[in-house]
Amino acid sequence: MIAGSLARRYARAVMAIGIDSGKYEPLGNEINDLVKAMQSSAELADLLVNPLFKRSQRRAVLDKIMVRLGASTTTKNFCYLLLDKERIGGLPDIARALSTMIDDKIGRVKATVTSAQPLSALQLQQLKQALEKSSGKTVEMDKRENPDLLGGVIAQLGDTRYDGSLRTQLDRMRDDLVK
Amino acid sequence: MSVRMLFVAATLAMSAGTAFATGDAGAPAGHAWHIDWFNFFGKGSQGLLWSLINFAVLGLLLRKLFGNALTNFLQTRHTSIKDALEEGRRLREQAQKQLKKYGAKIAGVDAEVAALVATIRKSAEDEKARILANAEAQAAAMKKDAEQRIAAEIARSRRALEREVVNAAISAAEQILRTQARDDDHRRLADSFIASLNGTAAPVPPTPTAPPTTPPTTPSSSSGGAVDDSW
Repeated sequence: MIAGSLARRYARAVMAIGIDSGKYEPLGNEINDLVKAMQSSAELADLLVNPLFKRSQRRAVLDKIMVRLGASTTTKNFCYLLLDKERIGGLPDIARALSTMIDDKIGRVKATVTSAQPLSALQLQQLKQALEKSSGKTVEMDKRENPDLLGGVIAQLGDTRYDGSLRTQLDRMRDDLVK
Repeated sequence: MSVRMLFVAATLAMSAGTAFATGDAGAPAGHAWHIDWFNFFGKGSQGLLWSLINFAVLGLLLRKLFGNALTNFLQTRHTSIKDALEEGRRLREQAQKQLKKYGAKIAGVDAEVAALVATIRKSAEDEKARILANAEAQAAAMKKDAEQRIAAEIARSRRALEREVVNAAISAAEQILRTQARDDDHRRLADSFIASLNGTAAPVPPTPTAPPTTPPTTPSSSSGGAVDDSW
């Protein structure tokens, strides 16, 4: 974990390299893949972050993972740099900042749609169109289900939250009644 | 003048005494020296005139020798006696004044005692009234405080009861929604949500993300409205 401003600085640097090479989106995907690998294995994350292990050992592990992920030289060099600076633990924050920058660059916004019951394909399509119309950007939707919502849908579009869940309606009703 | 008269009288007395003493002392010896009181121009020195001259010379000599000292003594004595008499008179007047004053005081003691008793009684009455007023005020304050506590307790209990009833009602509603909501209901809710989003065609200004612990809010309250209130 590193500070947000530091993560944004690293992300800006990677973004600048990606823009120069015209491959900022693949670059972001490679870094995201590595983050997913670290998040899927706590042992791997600990191995890469823990300074008790020799840096050469950690670098060898990182190298093997990136070969398996098919990472580019730029991604490898960037990760080696983070390892040398003992900031590889901040890679998730950097990936998040980079992803935001890439989305801004290509006019894309991520939306998380949570519903109590699975939405139909038609509903998802309509929802995507509505969110794109609302934001003026291409929407990349992440679908989730949460029965605790009781009914309705919550759409998180960037920093904006559209809440049409029954859970929220009930909570608001409770607050109004006990106020 | 009075001093001078006194001096003459004393001299006469001394002269007479001397004459008598001389006469008495000389009698037994047979040739005693005496004054013939009835023969002014007597024979030899026995005439009264001679004795008077003798006495006058003596008086002059005495006056010459002791006149000033005696006069001073008598003057001083006169002055001191006069001062003493004056002081005595002043003291007497002062004592009479004091006597009158104390007499008046004694005469007013009864009234003073009565006034004092009245003052003390009035003070006691005032103190009693003050204590009663304080006690009444304190009792009123305690009563008011108790009433406020009771009112606060009633309000608190009422709020707790309302909260409990509301929670029970919400829980019941939640249970009904969980068990009785059908797929059609969920589909209708989702369609309504999408319709409300389409109603907000204009780009929605970004709003701060709600903390995860707080209940989610609809943009209708923060960013222009996007949710159908009929939900």
